[in-house]
Amino acid sequence: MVAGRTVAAAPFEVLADTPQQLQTPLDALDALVTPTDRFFVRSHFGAPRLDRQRTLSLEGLVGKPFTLSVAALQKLPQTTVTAVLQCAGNGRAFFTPTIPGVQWQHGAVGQAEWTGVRLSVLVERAKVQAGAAHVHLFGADRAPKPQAPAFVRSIPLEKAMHPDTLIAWKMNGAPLTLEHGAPLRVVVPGWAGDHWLKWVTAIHLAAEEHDGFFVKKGYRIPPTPVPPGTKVPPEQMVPVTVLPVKSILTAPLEGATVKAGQVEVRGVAFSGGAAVRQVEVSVDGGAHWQLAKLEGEPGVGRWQRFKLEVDAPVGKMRVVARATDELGALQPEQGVWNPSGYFWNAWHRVSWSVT
Amino acid sequence: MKRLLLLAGLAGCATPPAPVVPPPVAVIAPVTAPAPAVVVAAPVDAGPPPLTAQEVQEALSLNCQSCHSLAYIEQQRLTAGQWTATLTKMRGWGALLEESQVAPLSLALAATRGPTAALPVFETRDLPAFTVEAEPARTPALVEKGKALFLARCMVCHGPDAHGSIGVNLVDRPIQQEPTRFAQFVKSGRGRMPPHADLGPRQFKELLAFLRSL
Repeated sequence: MVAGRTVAAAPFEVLADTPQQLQTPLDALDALVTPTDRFFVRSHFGAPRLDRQRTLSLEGLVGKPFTLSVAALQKLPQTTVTAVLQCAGNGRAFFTPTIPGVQWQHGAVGQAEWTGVRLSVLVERAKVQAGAAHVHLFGADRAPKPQAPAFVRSIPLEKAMHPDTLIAWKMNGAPLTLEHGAPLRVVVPGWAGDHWLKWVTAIHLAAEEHDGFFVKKGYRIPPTPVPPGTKVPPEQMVPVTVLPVKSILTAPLEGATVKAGQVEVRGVAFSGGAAVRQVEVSVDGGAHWQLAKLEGEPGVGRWQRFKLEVDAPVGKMRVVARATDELGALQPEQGVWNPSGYFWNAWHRVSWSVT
Repeated sequence: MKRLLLLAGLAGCATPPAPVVPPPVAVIAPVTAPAPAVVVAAPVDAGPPPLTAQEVQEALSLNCQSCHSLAYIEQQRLTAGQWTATLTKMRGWGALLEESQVAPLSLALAATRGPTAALPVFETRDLPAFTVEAEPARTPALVEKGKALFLARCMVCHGPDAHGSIGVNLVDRPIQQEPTRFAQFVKSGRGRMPPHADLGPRQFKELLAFLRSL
């Protein structure tokens, strides 16, 4: 017996089966849009029962609370946004000292087209009351033990009202799969994946941010860098929000063998704070840089592809990329260590053989 | 002499683990030979002997894998202190590990999955594909039969509402999408869960129908 019809999936790197933590191999990132069946999967507790009849409630500090079916939501004005979804812990495996958690390397990231209704439309419909400043997001997924905290997230009302922030039911033009949040998920372009709550069933407006584990203890980062290995109490940290500027090399990959001559170096680059201004590529370990050509529409929290033809003589090639965003933020040579291993964005270095 | 072994590789990895011989902590010199020139003192506070690889595996199987794959553990590279913090957090989240097990298990895990351990090579493979449609329709009769069976066989550990107690929560959990694994766990048992070998496909269907109705 099989629970429901399924679509064919391409290989992932399986970091865990239960709950599923699936990493996208780098070759699948070599595109403007990441195919859904190769898009990384991460959740704390795994998927709930697939129920496309689940409803969405808007409640709390509002004058007119309501509950809507997915069908009713789909009758509201629809918006499609192309945006990067990246797990806050993408790259955790590269930090020293080592940090507990899923040991993501490069592939807890992807870009998709997300279709849904603006969260601002729903909040306005519910009539915000004075004092509301935060939006608590609740999902249908449940922890394996009653003692474990529910995965609840909180975003400031201002971010909830951003025109790119959606309650989405489609990913890359098709209904969301269960693994990606069906029937409804939150889309918060520019911000780390922990805010993109899957299986969302309730949105609660409140004066304060949510006081649960995953807001007050998890997903926090020191406001300024600390020496690697430092213990920092959660209350002295701030939520991880805006994705830092980053580029990832997607071709040729580490360990590749290529023929001598002109070789096209490719990758993707994005920043949660601004559009990408430029991507530079170095073939001498970072001493000299060349500007790569950007492809795709620039935007906040949206990736563009970059390409550069380089001359590859026989031997070993050591290629590095770094991105700069329109705010002037430059991708750093080293990742900034923090207690939970978030936001690794060091220069991506690969080496390949030229024959 | 009991020796620590590397934890088994990632789930699905067929390569058997290689034995690792730790440096001897202390050697008691034989006392039968007369007047030995070198006497190695017994350790002042040796504590209990380190856990064997089998004891580690048993502790992980009984206390961890009902909630998550052991792959979560096998990819960590942590100091004993970090392991203690993690195990303590997991006890707070409902892991049935005894407090007295935390220290020896932390030491054993740090010995094999310490900060200098290599990151595992993660398996790349095709997966049971993404789920795009709900499970087959359930009838009230099926749900009622499943409920009766649940109350008779499962409630003691999983709680009257199936939200978990000794056993795990079964409501809105990924296992509902995995009928093959569900059947396997019920039939054969797993970790602390006893086998229910007398149950068959009809009962599994009834139980799943009930759990999906909650």
